[in-house]
Amino acid sequence: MLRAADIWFAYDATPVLRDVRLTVPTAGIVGILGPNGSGKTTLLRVLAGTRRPQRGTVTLDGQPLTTFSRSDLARRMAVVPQETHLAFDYTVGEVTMMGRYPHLGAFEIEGPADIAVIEETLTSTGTLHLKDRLFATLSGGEKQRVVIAAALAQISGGAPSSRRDFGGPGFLLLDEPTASLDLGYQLEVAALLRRLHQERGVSIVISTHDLGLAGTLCDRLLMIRSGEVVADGETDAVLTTENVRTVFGVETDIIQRPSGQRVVVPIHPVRDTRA
Amino acid sequence: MTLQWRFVRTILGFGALLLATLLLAPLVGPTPVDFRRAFDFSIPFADNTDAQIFFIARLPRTLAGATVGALFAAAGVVFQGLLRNPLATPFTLGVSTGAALGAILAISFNWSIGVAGISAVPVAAFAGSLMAVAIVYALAQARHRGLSTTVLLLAGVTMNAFFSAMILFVQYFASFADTYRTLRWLMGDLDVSSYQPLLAAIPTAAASFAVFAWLARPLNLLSLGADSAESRGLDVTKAQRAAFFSASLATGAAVSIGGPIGFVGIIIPHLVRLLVGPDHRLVLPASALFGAAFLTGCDVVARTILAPVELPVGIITALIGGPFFLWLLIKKP
Repeated sequence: MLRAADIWFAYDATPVLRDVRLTVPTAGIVGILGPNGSGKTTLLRVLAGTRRPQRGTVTLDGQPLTTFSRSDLARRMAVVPQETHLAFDYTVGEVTMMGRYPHLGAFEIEGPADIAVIEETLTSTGTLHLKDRLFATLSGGEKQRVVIAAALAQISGGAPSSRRDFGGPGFLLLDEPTASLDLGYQLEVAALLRRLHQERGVSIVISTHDLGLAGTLCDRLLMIRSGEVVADGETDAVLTTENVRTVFGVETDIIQRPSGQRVVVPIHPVRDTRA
Repeated sequence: MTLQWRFVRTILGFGALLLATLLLAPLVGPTPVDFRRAFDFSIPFADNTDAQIFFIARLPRTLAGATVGALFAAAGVVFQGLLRNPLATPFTLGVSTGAALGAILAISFNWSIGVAGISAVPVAAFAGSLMAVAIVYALAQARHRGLSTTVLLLAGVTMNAFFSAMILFVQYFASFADTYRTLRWLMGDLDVSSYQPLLAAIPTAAASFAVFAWLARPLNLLSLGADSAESRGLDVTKAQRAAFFSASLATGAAVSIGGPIGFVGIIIPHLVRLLVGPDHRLVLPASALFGAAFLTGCDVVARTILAPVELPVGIITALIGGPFFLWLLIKKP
């Protein structure tokens, strides 16, 4: 279980997160919803331990993140950014192998066990056939699936030499993973995440402003505006027209289809509610 | 193919190239040398001109070429990885211009105080590079927690311009003879004529290469971007600091031996990436070996192409490097 309690965080004088609390149950899917600039990405960084909050603590299975070593933490939690641009022409296989970094010693070279892990995660994300392609030549959706494969390789055990026995399939933190993708790829990534959650039991935290995606995929939602929590709880209770009006300043229709899928239709902006 | 096998093959291939260059380079030159006589140690060294040419002129020059080439090429790889920019060079962050300022002050004011038998110019050059490193680092650190590569780049470019202005200022008041010596130094030359500058640079070079070995994997991760690298378990600030200081010291050591010889630090990493791919665990050692062979070879050309005139090697690398840069720019559609 990943739990953030009373988090305050500021890059400079103005706090970006104010008293945020969030619980991600093991094997849960939690969505962090909010408009641009509401602090979603920062909250994700704090959860991942790459930024330390000025106040409050984040705990993983009851232990504060600050007590973990960088590589211990990296073997349990992986982050998928919105977009990945490489400085050099690495292949898909090489990018995925970078996920094995926290499993290897300073001068250790990845062995057959690591190769088996990345081939499994590439298969799992449907990208094994791209293994020898250059990452830069892939489409946006393919790139995102490869980065997810690298993240899975990071939180997988596998190599006998790696100190790994932490139990549980780990946490995936995704920062607006569909924001730069077109409709088809958005659905594809959403379906992939649902399948990974069902098949591997990974816990997923996803920050997004795509209300339909969050409403369909997540069991719990956290809505934030200007760094403050507006609503937190089961998806049904949080994804309401009132909360969407408060947080996004938009009047919407929320439609639940028989399949369970939720569709959020924006109608018109509401004045004076946005801070 | 496993990485182990690719690594062995890369080292053997580029190592063989370097070995061949090192064996051949001292044999070539405008003055014919009788090698049987050069290695005949029964003749007193003072009477043996063949041995003198071989051991005092050619051998140190060959070894200097190899050392400087390896340092520039490897430092280029590290700077490109640190700045996430394949067009960065060992000179981008102002290290070599700082060194040039040091060297030019030593020439113009005729400093004679050497350290431990090394003449003043290389010592002043190395001191100048250290000063530039300290200033650029302090600037990059002041604006940011950790190292911002953007600020690093801006600070480097600014200090480059500032040091250049200082050089012009000193030059304006210098005598013709000193200006000539300064110009020759700025061209980059490997005519060291002794083992002293080499021996003096070895500790710095060795320390830099030791850090480079550790940096190979972190540099791979840094090319994902700082945030992604951090979430993979890398201490990004530590890796960036290690990269900045080790590559700067390597550049300072290389400049103190041969002056600011251009283009080695960008041509070699690019060719190597074309041959072995972008994995820094292959690119770094391969660039060091290939850079050593390349600069030694260029120096052979510089010594022989207009014999008996010996050109400074910096002119040859620039003549190759300029067109190479243009080719890089238009290569990809």
